[in-house]
Amino acid sequence: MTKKVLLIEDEPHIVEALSFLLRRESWQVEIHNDGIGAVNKVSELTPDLVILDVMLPNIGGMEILHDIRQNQQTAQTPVLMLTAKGQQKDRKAAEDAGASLFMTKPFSNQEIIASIRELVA
Amino acid sequence: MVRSLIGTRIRERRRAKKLSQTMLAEKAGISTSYMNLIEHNHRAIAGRTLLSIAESLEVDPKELTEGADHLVLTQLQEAANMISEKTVELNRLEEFVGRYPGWSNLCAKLYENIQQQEQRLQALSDRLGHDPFFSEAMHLMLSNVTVLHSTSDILATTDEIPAAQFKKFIQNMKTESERLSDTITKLLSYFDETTSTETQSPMLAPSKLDQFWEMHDYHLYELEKPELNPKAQIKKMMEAWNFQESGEQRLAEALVGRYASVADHLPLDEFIVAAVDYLYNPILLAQKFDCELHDVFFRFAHLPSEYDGQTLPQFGLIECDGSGGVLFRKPLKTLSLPHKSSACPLWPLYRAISQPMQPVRAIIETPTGESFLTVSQAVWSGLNNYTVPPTVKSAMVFTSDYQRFLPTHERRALPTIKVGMSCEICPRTNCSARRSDSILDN
Repeated sequence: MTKKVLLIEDEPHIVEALSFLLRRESWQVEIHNDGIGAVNKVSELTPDLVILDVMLPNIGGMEILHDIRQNQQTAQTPVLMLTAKGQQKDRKAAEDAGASLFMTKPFSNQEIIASIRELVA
Repeated sequence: MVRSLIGTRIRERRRAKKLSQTMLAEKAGISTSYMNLIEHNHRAIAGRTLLSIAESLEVDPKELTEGADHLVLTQLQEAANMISEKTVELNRLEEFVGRYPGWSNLCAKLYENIQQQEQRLQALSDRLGHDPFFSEAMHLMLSNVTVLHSTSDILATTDEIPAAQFKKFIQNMKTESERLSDTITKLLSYFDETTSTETQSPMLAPSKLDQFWEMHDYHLYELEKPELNPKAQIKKMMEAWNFQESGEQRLAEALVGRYASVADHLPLDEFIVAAVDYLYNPILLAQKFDCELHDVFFRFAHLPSEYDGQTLPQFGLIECDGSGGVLFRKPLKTLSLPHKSSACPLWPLYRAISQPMQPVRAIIETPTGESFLTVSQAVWSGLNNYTVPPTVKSAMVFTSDYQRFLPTHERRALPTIKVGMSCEICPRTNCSARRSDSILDN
């Protein structure tokens, strides 16, 4: 069965590269590019995985993650956090907020695909 | 401890005056053998003998008992502690200072220079960690590199890509590489400007007054005890720091004088107990101590980092006039402050100006995600004058340690304002208060 991935990211060229990679793996890709409405999108689409950027317009990724984990319907959804901040404290904050995995930009295509495979397996 | 140095000092000053031991002994009215014992630090002296020797050498008795060497001694002691070098003969430090004033001054000066360099490095490191411009530039560059890295890998490893998609990827890479180049150029230009204006930019090269406060960690324990004679302590500090520019000297005297006055009115021990009791509420504290809110702000900003074994919340403070010109600043590591001109117009500091006397309390959040509890108030100055219009002075005290004392229900009730530092380096888009473009805009 085709896995559904929701990509919440505001950088259009990153979205384009990532969605190409995901579709190449035959996954269904949904895209949302703003902090506003992101949590509703997760509830509505019930994806197998959410790829969530930390720095989003209007509402930050950490806040969205917090809300995803608070919502009974979405609490168990695997979330891969993407960020340009790779400091230990950011990693810890993401883990504390309930991220399934934390990856820093720039990521390698092979690494992110391998991680996604594990998360949706 | 001082005793050993007095004899050495007497000997050095006698030699400087080209007097023999016998001549000095005669002038001071004591025997040569006694003078010999004193000079070799085998006899303690005080009272009349000390006064007569000082008079014979034409020096202030204090120069013999403590003198200008006191600061040098302290600095050399700190230098020895800094390198933890066990081979340093600390027990002979006073003798060294007394015997070799030139060398010891040189060592002390070198130590002072090292300290200043360390402070500059720390300031630079803090800046790299918290500068919103740098943070935003890094974020942009990492995004650019991510696209380039990921897209080029796709192009290199995918055999068949539809022509339109291929063209789109090439276009994306071109755009991102241009953006990357642009951001790097702006970043280099930003640091070039900083370097070329270093003498005017105390962020990298702090003024002597900034150094004074930083060296004391904004807390002057000498002025916390009335029995130490605050006036004499202020004089001593000003002499020790020797502010070169008269304007800076006047400002330093005014600020330290204000510190002494606030310390006298709001005694440290009593103030800290009350601050803890009142959950650092400045209004309640101003009522208790019957003082201005600005005095409480000033006191907050000058609290020691530790008291009675407990760490205290750290407060920053900025004061400005009605035009936004900065009058006093105590930055925190996580919130840098402008030195002269105005900052982000959304800071409650400026909102307070529109409603003098009314305190404004809010949480502010910086672009790098740090949040601070702020309390601001503007007050009138120069009222009751027919010819000159009154002016306002606004102050904003702030802390990131507010979770330690602010009850959750109060925190939730406070507005959170997303602010920046200044428009030029602020990454926030769609800001109604923006007055100039960010230099990072692509």
